[in-house]
Amino acid sequence: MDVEVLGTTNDQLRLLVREIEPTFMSAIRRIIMAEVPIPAIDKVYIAENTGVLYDEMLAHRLGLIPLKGGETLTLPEKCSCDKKGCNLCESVLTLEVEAKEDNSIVYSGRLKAEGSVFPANNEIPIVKLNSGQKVALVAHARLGLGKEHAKWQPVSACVVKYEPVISIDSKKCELRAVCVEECPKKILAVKGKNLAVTSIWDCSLCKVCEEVCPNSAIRVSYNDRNSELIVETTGSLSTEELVLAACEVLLHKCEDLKNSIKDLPEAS
Amino acid sequence: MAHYLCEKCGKVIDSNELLGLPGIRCPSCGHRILYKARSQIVHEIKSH
Amino acid sequence: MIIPVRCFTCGKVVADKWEEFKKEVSKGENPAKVLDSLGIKRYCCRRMFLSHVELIDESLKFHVHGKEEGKI
Repeated sequence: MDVEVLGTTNDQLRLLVREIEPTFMSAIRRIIMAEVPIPAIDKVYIAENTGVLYDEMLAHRLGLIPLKGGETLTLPEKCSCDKKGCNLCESVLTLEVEAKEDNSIVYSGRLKAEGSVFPANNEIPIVKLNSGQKVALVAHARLGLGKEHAKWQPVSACVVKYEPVISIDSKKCELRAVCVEECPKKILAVKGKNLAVTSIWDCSLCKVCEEVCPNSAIRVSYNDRNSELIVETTGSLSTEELVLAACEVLLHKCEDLKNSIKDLPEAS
Repeated sequence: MAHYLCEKCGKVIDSNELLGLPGIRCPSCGHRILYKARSQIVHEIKSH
Repeated sequence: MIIPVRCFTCGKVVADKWEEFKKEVSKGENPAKVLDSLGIKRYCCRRMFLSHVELIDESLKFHVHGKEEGKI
């Protein structure tokens, strides 16, 4: 196994892993999407809300705000309080605003953290208020898993893709460059006397180039031994943390299986 | 108990005060538009 | 009503980019270009912007008496 970073931005990571089972990569992908715990607001206690959004809409919007700082919390399922909610598994945020002028927007930055958990993004509009309208609430955030509700899903996109393989038969190719024009990802180019692929990982395996080539000089296939993992985070955890956390979760699962097998009574 | 607010005078009306009146009316000013006031109990709302 | 916090389909946070989108488009900029510059690539997220109508503004116009409400 051999790993290479194909590119990173603030919220996206493109990881190339060579010589790996595609099923294994898919396991990592599924764990990132559904089983890496992140915090999100779950219960909201609204004391006052004279704005135009109903309490339930407000609570729903609050739940979708990505939160940071959940490392200190434990999953309610594993907490000693037996899912009731205590200060070990829940963190409190408060919001108290009275609008001074009409059409003023309340942003997620106004949420005051009472515990370790705070909003990952301070520019999310929660509600619009006219002057005099008030919102006062207490929100309880807890850790959760993506399989329970999408607000606990740490990624907006998490994809595994095989390595595209484009083979060009230079004997048949007449350099008419029809494929260069037609390729929707614009990854083909004529360089000197050859047709060349500029960025192979952008290929979507659509095979348009195959269809338009009059001489059948180009062939698109894939190599499933090498995969690219694309992770796009919503802001709760960084992309690196996510991949590492997913490996950790998978390790725990294997450990659990190993222990249960050990505990089996001897077959007679 | 449930509370109502008069649209005109802003008075807080207990629902018991409305029982003896002929129809829905503010007991003090007689205005016929009342708002239902928000309950004082803070409920837990699940965010989903 | 108000711009949804996240894309309905993929869950990307879109609400924080709405105001910039609205500002640029009202200046006469091409919506497609604004979305590209905001880094909204997938068509599921793009439709969140293109099809959104900020109805909360209409609703706020009819909601002026904040004072009497809420006091018991």
